Amino acid sequence: MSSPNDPAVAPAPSVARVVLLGNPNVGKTTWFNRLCGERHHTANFSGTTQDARVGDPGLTTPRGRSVELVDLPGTYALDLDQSEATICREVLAGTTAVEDRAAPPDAVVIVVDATNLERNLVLVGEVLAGGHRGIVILNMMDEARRRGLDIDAGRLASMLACSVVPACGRDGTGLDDVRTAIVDVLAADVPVATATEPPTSAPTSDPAPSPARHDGGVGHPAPRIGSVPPRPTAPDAPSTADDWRTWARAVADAACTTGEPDRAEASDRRTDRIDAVMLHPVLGLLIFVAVMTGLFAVIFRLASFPMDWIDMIVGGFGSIVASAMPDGLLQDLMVDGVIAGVGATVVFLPQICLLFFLLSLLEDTGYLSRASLLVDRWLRPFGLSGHAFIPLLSAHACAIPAIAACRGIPDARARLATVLAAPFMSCTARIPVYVLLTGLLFPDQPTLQAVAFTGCYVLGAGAGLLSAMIARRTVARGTARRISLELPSYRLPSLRAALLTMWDRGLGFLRKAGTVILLISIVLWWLSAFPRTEPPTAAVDLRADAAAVVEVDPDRAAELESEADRLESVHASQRSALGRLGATVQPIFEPLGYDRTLTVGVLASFAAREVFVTTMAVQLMGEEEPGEAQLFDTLGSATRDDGTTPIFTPATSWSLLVFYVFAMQCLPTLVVTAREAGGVRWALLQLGWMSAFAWIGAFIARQIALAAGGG
Amino acid sequence: MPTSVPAHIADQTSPEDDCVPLTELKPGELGRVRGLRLSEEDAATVRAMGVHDTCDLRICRSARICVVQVLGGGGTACRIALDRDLARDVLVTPMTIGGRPVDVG
Repeated sequence: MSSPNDPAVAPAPSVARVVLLGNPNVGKTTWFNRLCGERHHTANFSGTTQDARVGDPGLTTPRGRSVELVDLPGTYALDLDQSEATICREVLAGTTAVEDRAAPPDAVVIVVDATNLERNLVLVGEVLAGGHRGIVILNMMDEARRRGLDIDAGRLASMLACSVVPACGRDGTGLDDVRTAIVDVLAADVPVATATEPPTSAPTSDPAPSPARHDGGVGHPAPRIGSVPPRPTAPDAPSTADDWRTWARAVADAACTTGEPDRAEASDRRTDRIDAVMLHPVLGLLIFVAVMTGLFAVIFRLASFPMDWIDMIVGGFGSIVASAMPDGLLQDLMVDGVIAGVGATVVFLPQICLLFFLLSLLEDTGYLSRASLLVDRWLRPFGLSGHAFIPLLSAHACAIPAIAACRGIPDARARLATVLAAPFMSCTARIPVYVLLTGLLFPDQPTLQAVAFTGCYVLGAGAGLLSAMIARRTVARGTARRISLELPSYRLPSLRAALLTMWDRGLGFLRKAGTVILLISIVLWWLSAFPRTEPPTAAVDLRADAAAVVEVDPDRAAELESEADRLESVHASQRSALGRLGATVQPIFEPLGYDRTLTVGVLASFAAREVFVTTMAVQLMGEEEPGEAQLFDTLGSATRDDGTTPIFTPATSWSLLVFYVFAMQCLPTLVVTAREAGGVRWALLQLGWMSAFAWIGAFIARQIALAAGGG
Repeated sequence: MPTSVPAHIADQTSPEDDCVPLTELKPGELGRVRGLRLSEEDAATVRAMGVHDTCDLRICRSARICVVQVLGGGGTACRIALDRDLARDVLVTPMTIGGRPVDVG
């Protein structure tokens, strides 16, 4: 039987593929980042929705082949019935393509948690038994030493018949040894094992003489152990999961001893004490509330500065482009379509980056897993488990990465319910709309504005949970699966890892802004700009009046020009394709109190809700970037086409606020839902459900406001 | 509080018919898993995380969420949180010396 690495079966391509594999939470991503840094991109495992990170570790084999590193999803074992395990199995077998290339990898780097050797070795055994050239990174050696564990990496290498590198991804210890081991293993002409010849079944056989003992660890750069491992022979090779566990225990027992048991006891006691506080039903909850409040306070306070800068840069860039290009369609497209549209989205980049940076720090400390356990109790009545906590939390920044994070939920039906519920959480794109409407409802009353603002978040979260509960009783029927979760050790977070996560997520967001959102912006611009119309007579007259008085009273002339601009803008908006669509659709929104102008605002923001403020500013003021005070004054006093009825009555404003809390209004989210939930039908269900929920909620809000005298 | 069970304790686990739900053990006590009375899905998940037949556990916390330390070979270990309902379906034999549970907490 041929092994996957048999050169006779698979002729060597110009790029040698190395895959990175490991249990969840063993520091696999840290090692990918250590090896590739920023030299990576995101692809897909073909036929799946799972992202595949493909990186360039900057290595070349002795035969001149460059090396690419593929980061596989974390899995406890290859034989599990989970999507992550299936992808790992198929990539190792060469049946799933990465970047259109389906072939078994040339080598497998398996990251192992040194403090939890036995369980991690099951995966190592399965991989090596498959005939792959393997390199084991014995990660977290610093923690293993702190626990008083004494791991004989040389003995482990000889038992596994592959290179074993003691290392610590957090500070980069062992990085050079890992790089050398990869090149060495790729230089070997023969595979280390074949499918019929798994690694040694018991440590007692010890097929190769044990090299000198190496402890590795922090401050002691570890020498590389075992260059080209010998071909092992094992007549009684493990075949079942139980066999593998027995084998793993025997190997762990032989390679590892508790040199200083006191240290392990002290470490365990410390973790027990911290857990007693963090998981305490009252104290833990108070800490949870404090951490979450702090998280969002930091995000909103700190992000406001770079958001203002981006806003200023986008506005300035628009002005420069407008002055550099001749008046006309192309200028309108660039300034009003591309720059304004993409700029309105890119402005949220700081909040998204900060959220992922802080979440990465929190996750690294080991706290987020504990928080998931705390929240589990509150999510269960809605059919969800604590696994849904991190996706729902992330959705407060942006639903797109939140929906992608739902892959971590083990129960498929609970995962679907979470995907459907996540967009109800108030994302950053809703903030401009909330600010505008709470400002109109409570002018000069910041406390009441803050209360209403917070209420929007609570309302959104409540609607999301209610929707999840309904989904769990209908389309994703089932009860909340009882939670089981690995609790990582408490440790200081890695700034480097958090910065790389932030960079990765930020780039992903910008990529979407440069593709999907750019396309939407152009389409919306086209709908709102065509068909072109002649300026109204009133505007022409005003311009003539302005020209007549410009010499004697320039201020008056500027006022007249500004009013002419507004009239032209309103006229063009009314006659544009979007304006006509608004007039046609307006009867649907009439019960909510929306006139044609508001209906156009709602329709224009169908693809991206933050566009609402821009659309209203353009329609009512003829400007996209008005000052805040001017915006509130004009919108607050704006009237319907009859010239007397205010557009923003309190009842209408409440109705709009509730509508935007619940409405989907985000095309990229629908695209991601279709991808992650497994079909367009789920995206359509989400759109229909959220739209209906928003309409009914807005109708009820208006009726209550009217009854309270807010007409 | 050992990170693996010493031989003189491991040899004195209760007979298999003395199995009790994991939830009956108190924090600090040791037990050996004798069976998982779980659905196939749940059993596969907890087994993958290291809680399998014959593995040794130390109870760290016994509340609505039970936290156990799975004691692996060579003194290595990991910490797993289990919903109490789930933990109730994990059957263990308490480790005893002279008929008294071993408490290493």
